[in-house]
Amino acid sequence: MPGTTGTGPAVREVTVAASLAALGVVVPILFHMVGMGRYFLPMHLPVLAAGLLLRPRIAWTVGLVTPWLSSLLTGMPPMPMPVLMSIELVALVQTASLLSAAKAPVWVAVTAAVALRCAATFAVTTALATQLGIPEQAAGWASVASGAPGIALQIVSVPILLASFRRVSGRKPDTA
Amino acid sequence: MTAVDVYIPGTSPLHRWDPRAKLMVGALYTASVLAIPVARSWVLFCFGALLVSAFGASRLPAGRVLMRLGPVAGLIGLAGLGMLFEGSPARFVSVSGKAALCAGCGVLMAATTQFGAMLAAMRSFRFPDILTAVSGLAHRHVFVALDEACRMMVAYRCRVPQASPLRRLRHTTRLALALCLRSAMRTERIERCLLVRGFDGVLRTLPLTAPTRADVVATAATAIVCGALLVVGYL
Repeated sequence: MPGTTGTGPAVREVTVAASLAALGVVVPILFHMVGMGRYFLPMHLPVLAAGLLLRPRIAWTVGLVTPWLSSLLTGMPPMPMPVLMSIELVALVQTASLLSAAKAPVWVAVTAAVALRCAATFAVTTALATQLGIPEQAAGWASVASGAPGIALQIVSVPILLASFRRVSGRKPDTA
Repeated sequence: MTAVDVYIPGTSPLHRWDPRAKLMVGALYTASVLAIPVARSWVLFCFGALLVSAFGASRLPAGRVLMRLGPVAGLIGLAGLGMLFEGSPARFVSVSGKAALCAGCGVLMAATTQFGAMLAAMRSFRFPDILTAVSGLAHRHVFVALDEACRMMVAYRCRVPQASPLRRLRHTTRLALALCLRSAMRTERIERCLLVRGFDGVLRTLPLTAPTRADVVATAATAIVCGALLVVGYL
């Protein structure tokens, strides 16, 4: 995302990253208010948008910060889930950001990022399941399958969100 | 609607404990709890006793702590029930116990440590500046966004008291997208405010005072207890 001020893009990128990390805390609350939080992976929406909007050198911070901030402020996801979620969200956001930087089409970046996130979820859940003594394969597949509605939502809504974001960013800044 | 930012002001020893030590001990406690094998789940009760004594020392109001732990406990219980139906009570105790202890540790840390102090502790541990800057700004932004989300949700509920799950999903997604756009518009104003104040990408925090002898002793003692329990778990 280009900067609008003389000091370059750093401050703009930090504020956009912080804003999207905050949305990563608030959007799940919005979904939980209507009882739809668990299966639609609402935290992933702003994080994926961050991947498409920010450069890789800053995008990873959104994936890392969001689950920890949410866990500290709202108690959700409960510990030790932020450890796992920060790994999968960093995978999601970095893939999207790298592909976006390589000028890949949005739908390619979103699909590849979601696919790699699923792989990361499977790997991390399997590793944790081994530690907890749960059947590994079953836990891994269950964790990926339970987020299927969320994957559909991400693929549909994130490109729309990105287009709207770019339209808003291109608008002349207001003075309010 | 939602309990956010549960720092509870106080003067207990845990409130006064150095935030760097709390961060270190919290990470050590969580790692030790997670490393306990399923067959030695009874060690988790010792970790539980340690946590309860820490809650006691923190002098936090029990009602508020229970209110915070309630929804988390429900979620953990539901997750653990799967193990019970699978016919493995030992796994149920292990999974639910570990999750509850880790969640309790997180609640205790958040309730006794101000976010600014936690950021300062992260900076003193040489976390990247970009990470602390994004965390600090995001923490401030959460409350503004949450306030806006609550107003949008109240307005939505007034307009659409009843809706099918599919319609509700569509509406909630639209609300989320609208919230994102409003945040994007606000971001430009925040950026200009930060630039006016001389923000250079590094979030400044007040320097932490040097840890006292009591801080060092308490940290060492907790680390030794966690280490000893971990060894017992593997013996």
